[in-house]
Amino acid sequence: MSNVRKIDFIGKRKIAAILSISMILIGVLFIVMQKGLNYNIEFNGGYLMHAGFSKSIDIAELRKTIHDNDIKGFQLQEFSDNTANADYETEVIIKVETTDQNVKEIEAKITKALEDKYGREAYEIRQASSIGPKIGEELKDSAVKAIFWSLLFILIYIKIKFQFRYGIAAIIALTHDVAITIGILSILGYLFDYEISLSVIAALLTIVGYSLNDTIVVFVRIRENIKKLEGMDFDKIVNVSINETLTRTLLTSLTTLLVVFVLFLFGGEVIRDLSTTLLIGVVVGTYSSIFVASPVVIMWNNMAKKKRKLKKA
Amino acid sequence: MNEHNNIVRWVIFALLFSWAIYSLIPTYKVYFSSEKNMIEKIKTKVEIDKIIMKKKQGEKLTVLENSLFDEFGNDPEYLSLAEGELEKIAAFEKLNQKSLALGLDLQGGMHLVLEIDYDQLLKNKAKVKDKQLEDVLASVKAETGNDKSIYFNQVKIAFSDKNISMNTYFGKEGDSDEKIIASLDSAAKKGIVTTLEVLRNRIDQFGIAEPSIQKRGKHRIIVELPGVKDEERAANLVNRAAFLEFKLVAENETIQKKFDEIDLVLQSDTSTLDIEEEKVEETIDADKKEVVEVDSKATDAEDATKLLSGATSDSTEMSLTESDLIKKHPFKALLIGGRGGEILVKSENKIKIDDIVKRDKVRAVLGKYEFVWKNKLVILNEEKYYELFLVLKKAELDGTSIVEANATVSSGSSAMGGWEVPFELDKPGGRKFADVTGNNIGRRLAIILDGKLFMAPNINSRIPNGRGVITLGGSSATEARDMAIVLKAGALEAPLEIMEKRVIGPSLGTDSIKSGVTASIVGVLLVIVFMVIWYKLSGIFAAIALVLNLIFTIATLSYFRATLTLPGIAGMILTIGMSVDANVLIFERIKEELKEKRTVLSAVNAGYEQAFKVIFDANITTFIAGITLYQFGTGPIKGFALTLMIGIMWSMFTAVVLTRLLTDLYINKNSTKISV
Repeated sequence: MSNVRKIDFIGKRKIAAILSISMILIGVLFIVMQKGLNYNIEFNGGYLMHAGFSKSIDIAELRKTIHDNDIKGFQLQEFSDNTANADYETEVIIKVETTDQNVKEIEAKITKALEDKYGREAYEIRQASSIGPKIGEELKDSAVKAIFWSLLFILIYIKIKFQFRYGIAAIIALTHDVAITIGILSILGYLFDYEISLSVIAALLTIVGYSLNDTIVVFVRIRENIKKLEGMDFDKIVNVSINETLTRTLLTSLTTLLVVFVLFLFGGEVIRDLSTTLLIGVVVGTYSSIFVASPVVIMWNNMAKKKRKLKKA
Repeated sequence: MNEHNNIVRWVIFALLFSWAIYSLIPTYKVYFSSEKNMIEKIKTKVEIDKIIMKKKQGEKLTVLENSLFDEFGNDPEYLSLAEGELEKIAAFEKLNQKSLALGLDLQGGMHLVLEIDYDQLLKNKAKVKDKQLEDVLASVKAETGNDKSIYFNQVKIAFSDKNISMNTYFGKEGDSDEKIIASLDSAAKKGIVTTLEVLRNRIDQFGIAEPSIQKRGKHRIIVELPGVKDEERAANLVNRAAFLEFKLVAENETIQKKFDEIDLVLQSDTSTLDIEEEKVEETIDADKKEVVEVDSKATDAEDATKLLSGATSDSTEMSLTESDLIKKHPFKALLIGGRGGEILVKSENKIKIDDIVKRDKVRAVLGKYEFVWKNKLVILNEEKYYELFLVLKKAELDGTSIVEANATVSSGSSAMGGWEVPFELDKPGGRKFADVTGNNIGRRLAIILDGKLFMAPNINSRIPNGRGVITLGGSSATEARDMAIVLKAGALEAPLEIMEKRVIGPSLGTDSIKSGVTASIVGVLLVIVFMVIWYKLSGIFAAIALVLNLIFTIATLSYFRATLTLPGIAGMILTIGMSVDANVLIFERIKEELKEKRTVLSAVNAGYEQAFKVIFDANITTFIAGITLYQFGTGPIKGFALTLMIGIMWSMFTAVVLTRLLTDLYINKNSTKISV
C-alpha cells in the first residue's frame, strides 16, 4: 500500500462541498433567470423544419418571406455544421414554438411560403417535425418519471448490496450530477440558446448510470478495506479507498471522455445535444464519485456516531 | 489455473464467435454486397413480364403500367435478365428479414403518432345530431384537452351537468347512462383495433417496405414509414377517414320548397342574420358593399337565372333592388343556377351558407335532408364556384361492403380521359345496391366520400351486379390510386388526429450514417491507441476484447432484428469507452496484487476474481439506468438504451472471459512476467 499516492480527498471535502453547492446555485440562478428550463419543441410543441438549399440564399430575405406569410413567433437559424452535407449551399432551421397555434396550419404556411418563394426544386426538407402540445406535456412527465424510477431502483440495489447509507450517498451524488449538468446546460441555454431535448434526457439517464458505475467501484473498495484495515479510522479507510481506485477512475473517465469527445466532434449535429450533455456529465460524474459520494457516507457515519454517543450519554 | 476450465471457455467463446459471424452475414450481404441493386432490377423485370402477359391477353393496362413498360419494356438489360428470378427476390427478402434494420433517422422516413378523434367518433355514433350534442361535446373537448383517458368520464359529467339524458343520443331505448358510457368506451377500444387493421391494409397497398403500425398505450397508434418519399401523400392516406356513402339527391320540387322555407325562416330571423352576416363578412375580409355588388353581378349573369326566376316569377319582383332581393330571399340570393341546373355558390359565399345551414331553425326546416358540397370547384367565367347539393341524410348504403376497387383511365368520352375508380360490392351490398337503384330510377344518387360529394349520377336502370364507377374527372393518377386504396382498405370509424409528425429526409439519414461510422472508427482507434500505450501487451488484449465486443453487440442487434438508430450508434461508441472499464479494473487489480509480491499467476488469478465482483456490481447499476431509459424512450432513444445494455453485457463477457483466456495463454508461455 505504501506506493499508493496519497491525496487527502476527504480533507478537501469542505472545499468540494462549497464548489458543488455554488455550482448548483449558479445553475438554479440561470434556470430562474430564464423562467424554467429552455425546452425544445419536442417538449413545448410546435413546428421545426430543417431545409437544405442547393444554392446559397439570403437569410434576411428568407426571414422576410416567412414573416410576410403571417407566421408568428418563428425563429430562423442558419445551420452550420462541420460535417454538413456538401450538396447544400445553405442550410436553415425554421422553428415555431407554440402551444396554442395550430401546428398543422403553421406547417402548411411555411411550406407554401418556401415553395412560392424558391420553388420546390430549390431545396430539400431534410427534417421536419410537428409536435402537438399534448405530446410534449407527456414527455416532460415521463422524463421526470424515468429519472425518478432509475434512482429508486438503484437505491434499492445498493441497499441490498451495501448499506442504506451508501445508497443514500449514491443517490445524492447522482442528483448532484444531474443538477449540475442541467445547470450548465441552462448556462449554455442562456448564452447560446441551447435547448433541452429528448436526447438530453437520454444523456442524463446515461450519466446516472455512468457516474454510479464510478461510485460503486469506490464503495466496493471501501467495503473491502473495512475488513482489511480493521481498526483504522473510517475517514482514512475512505481516503485510502479513493486513492487506490483513483487510477482506474481517471483512466475510465479518460477513455469515456475520449469517445464522447469524438462523438461531439464527428457525430454530427443530430446528436450534438446528446454528446454535449454526455461531455459535461462525464466530467461532473467523475468529480462526484471522488468528492461527493464517499464524503456523504462519512458525514452520515459521523452523524450516526454522534447519535450513538448522545444516546449513551 | 485450471486447464480444463480454459478449454471449456475457449469452446464457449468459439461457439459464440461463430454465432456472431453467422448472425452478421445477412446484414453484410444486404448492406455491402452488390445484390441489392440486382434485386431492384429483378423486381422491375417481374413487373414488366406481368405487363407483357397482360398485353398478350389483350387486357387493358393502367397508365402506370404503360409508363413502366415504355421506360423499361425494351431495355435490353431487363430483357436479358433470366426468367424465374422470383426465388432470388424471395431469398433476398428472407436475408433482409434477418439483417440489422436501420431506424427512420438513418434511412429517412416518417413517424406519426395518431389518436382517434373521439369527438367525431361520438358524433358518428349519435342517433340524433343537433346543436345541443355539439355543445356538449365541445365542452367535453375543452375540459379534457387531449387527455383521452378521462374523456368518457367527462362525457358523462357533461351530460348530467346539463341535465340531458344520454339516451336521447346514444344506445337503445331505455339504456342507462352507465350502460351507454360502457358501450361507447368499448366502441372506442374496438375503434383502435379496427383502425390498426385499416391502416395496415392501406399501408400495405401503398407499397412501403417494412412499415410499422403499432398501438401504444390505450389511445395511440404509432405509424413508422421508412423510406417514404411523398410524406404529404402518405400522411393523407393514413389520416383519411374514407367514409363512403351513397345518398339520394332530393328531387327538384323538394329543393325549391326547402329553399323557400329557408328564406322564410331567415326573413323572420333578420335581426340575427344581420349580426351573423357582419361577423361572416369580417371573417372573409370583405366589406358589405362589395358583397352586394358581386351578388348583383351574379344575378345579372345570363346563365344564372333558372333558380332565381323560379322563385321570382312575379315580374314586379324582378325590378327589386339588390338589397331588397337579399331581404326577401336571403338564402337564395346567395345561390346561382348553373346551365345544367346545378346550384352554384360563389367561393366567397360558401362560408355564409355553412353558417346558415348550421342554425337550428334551418336544420328544423331541412328535416331529413342535408346539404353537401361537391369535392371540386367549378370555374365559370373565371370565377370560382362551389356546387351545393341537397341530399337525404340517411345513407342508402355505405362503403363497408366494397370488396374491390381499382384506378383506371376512364374509357367513356364524357370524362375526357380522366381517371375513374370502378368498385365492386360484396353480395349483400350488391343486393342492396340493386334495390336502391331499382326503386329510384330517374333520381340522382350521390356518392359521398368523407362528407364531400364526388358525383351524383342519374339512376337510369337497376344495377344488379353491385358494380359501380366513381369518376374523378381531372384528378391525377396518384389521387385515383389512393382513392382505390382507401376504398378497398375500408373506412376509419372516426378521423385520426396527428399528435406528432416527424419527417426525416433520406439525405440527412445518409449524413447521419456517415458521421456515425466516422465517430465509431475514430473512437475505437483512439481508445485502442490509448490502451496499448498505457498497458502495452495487456492493452492489446483489451483492444482485441473491444473489437470483439463491437462485433458481438452488432451481431446481437441483428439477431434480434433490432433497429439501429443514430443514438444507437452513439450508445455503441459510448460502450466502447465504458467497456474498457472492465479491463482497466482487472489490470489495475492485477498491478496491485503484483505489488504484494505474489507470483504472476496468483496475482492474475486474484486480480480477476476480485475485479469481477466490482465489475458486476458497477455494471448492473448502469444496466438498471438502461432499462428505465428503454422504458421511457421513443424510437431513437430506445435504440440508444438497447445498444448501451447489450454493449455492457458483452463488455463484461469479453473482459472476464476473453482477455482472461488471452492472458492465460500468454502466461503459459512466459510464466514470470506480465505487462500491465
